[in-house]
Amino acid sequence: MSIQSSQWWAVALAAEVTAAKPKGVSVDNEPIVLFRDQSGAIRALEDRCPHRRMPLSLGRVREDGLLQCGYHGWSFDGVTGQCKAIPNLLVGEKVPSTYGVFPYRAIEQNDFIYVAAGTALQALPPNLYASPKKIFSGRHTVGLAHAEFIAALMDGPQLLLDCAGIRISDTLIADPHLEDGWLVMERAAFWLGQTQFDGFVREYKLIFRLAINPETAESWLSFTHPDSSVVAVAHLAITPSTRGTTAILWRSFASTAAGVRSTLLRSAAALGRAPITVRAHIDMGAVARLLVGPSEHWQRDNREPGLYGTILTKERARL
Amino acid sequence: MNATQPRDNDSIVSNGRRPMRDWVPGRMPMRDAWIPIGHSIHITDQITWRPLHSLRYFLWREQGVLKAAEFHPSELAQKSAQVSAFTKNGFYPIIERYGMIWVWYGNPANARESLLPNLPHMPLDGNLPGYMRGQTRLHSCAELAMENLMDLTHSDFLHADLLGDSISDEDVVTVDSTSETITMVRTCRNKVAAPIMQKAAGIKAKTQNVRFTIHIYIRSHVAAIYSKFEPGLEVKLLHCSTPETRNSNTVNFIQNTTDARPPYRYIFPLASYKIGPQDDFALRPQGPRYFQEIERRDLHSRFDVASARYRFLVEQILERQSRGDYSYESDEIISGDKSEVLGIGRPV
Repeated sequence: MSIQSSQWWAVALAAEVTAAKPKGVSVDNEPIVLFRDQSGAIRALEDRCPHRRMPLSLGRVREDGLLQCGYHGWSFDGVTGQCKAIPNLLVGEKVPSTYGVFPYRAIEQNDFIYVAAGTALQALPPNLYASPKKIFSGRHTVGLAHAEFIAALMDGPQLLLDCAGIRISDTLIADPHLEDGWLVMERAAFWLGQTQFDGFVREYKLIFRLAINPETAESWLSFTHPDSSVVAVAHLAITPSTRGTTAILWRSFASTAAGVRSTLLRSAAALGRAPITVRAHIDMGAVARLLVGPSEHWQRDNREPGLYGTILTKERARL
Repeated sequence: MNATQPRDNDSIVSNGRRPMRDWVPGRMPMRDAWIPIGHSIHITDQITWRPLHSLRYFLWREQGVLKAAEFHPSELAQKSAQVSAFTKNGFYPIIERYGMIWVWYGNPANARESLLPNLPHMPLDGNLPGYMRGQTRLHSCAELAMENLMDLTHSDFLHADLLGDSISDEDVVTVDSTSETITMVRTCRNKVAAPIMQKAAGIKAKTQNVRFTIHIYIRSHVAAIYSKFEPGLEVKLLHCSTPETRNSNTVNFIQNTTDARPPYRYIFPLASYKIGPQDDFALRPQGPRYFQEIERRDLHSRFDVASARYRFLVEQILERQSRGDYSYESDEIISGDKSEVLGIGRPV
């Protein structure tokens, strides 16, 4: 996994990147600076001045949209990465055209900022759910490596998520499988306080559905009724950061499903209660004790290409 | 590494990585040099200690006589078998001069007073008031701190609030060097007067002619800085970066404002407490990036001549020392009078 591959990585919430100040982020230990130029367009450059290695994220955005290093004032074009100005040069004196930093491609979509390094870029995965106006969002950095966070999300999502009025059970109701390019699995879920049983038979009142992009592990999580009406949705961008940590960008919203509890969930959202959030503090003891479940088939070290797509190959081999 | 063992053969290259492609500041200490380790007024009968290249230097005065030992005096007898090659019976060579305590880092047999830097803009006995002295901390190796000192264009960005911009009618920079020193002289005609000059030194003129001289003793990490402002005054600064580790150096400084009138005399030494953190803002994140494996070398502009020369000279010294040659070449007399080099008494 590397930013040098051809996929897009979500690195920041769109609201975090303003015209006022550049923002430094990391993808798999690669420092990247994000900023908006004079037109408001999002730009991403290598966060390292080629002059004296100062992080460019400690600099400023000039009125002409160039990103200026805070140490000596070298200024860089957000599209090409080329150094366009060095202070105190004489009129007519030019900066060598080879001077510059690595430019990343950057786009803004779904309230996230995505960056990519390659030229033959894959398309961004489509939205699985339409977003309403009221969206909750946030970012956390968790002390789990990227692959381990995904594994924990597959094996014990209840340890990573807080869901308003809903409990995710450890009962798997659909094994991991590929659907339209997404790795999908399902678990039973329940409204808190609601009986799970009809007589002595357990009834699955809610379905927790996890869809993971096989390349980037960007995920859509949803709670639906058995009739497929959607109660709540969360969209997670899971990006490897530095020192073995993982940055989680998330957004969530309540959907339009009918029913008293769904209506209560929407009302709570209207009052400011996020239906799904990623836990800022994860019980690492519980993660350590987590039994290996569906992630067992996931070839974590086989990162190229089709990171998680190989699961089916392995499954077929078993058959 | 045992804290009591000199880091003389330790190198960033030795930890299994590929040989470096670019300058790695602080990768190896420069040996056989006098290093100012603290203000002399701070060393008393009480035992204290300072780090230097990860070694401990215990310092105290015994019946007025300065002592520097590698172990606490209470442990000296007990650890006599563990003394390193950098001491004689556990004691480092030590000298008190210019208001600083200088210790020898290297083979004690090579410690000679003639290798002590000459600082003609400071009183030999260091007899200056306490308010002219100070200390700041920089979270980088000493080499990066010294390079920062010679850096011409960063002031416009990091220190603009104190030192102003660099607009002038004429701005000439010359760089001269020997195998052990580097001297940069910057002469400006009609330079816009710095805010600190206008506010603290009572300079009414909007522009000044300035000659700024910095003379660096490379092995000692000592910079003699002498600036002459017309109209205005002389700025006499001693900057001593004590290399503690690869990621930290303590700056002991003396701002000799004896000739200045109040309030400048009292205010200007305080400027270091503003400038120091501003420099640390850049040096702190900059330092670790030189220890990362990056194939690309630093880029330079024509304003970086002094910096590039400094890097070259450091590498030359390290290259000689890696061959076991710790001597000083004959092109430099370290303790020779540097008044002319600093331009003391000469008009701009």
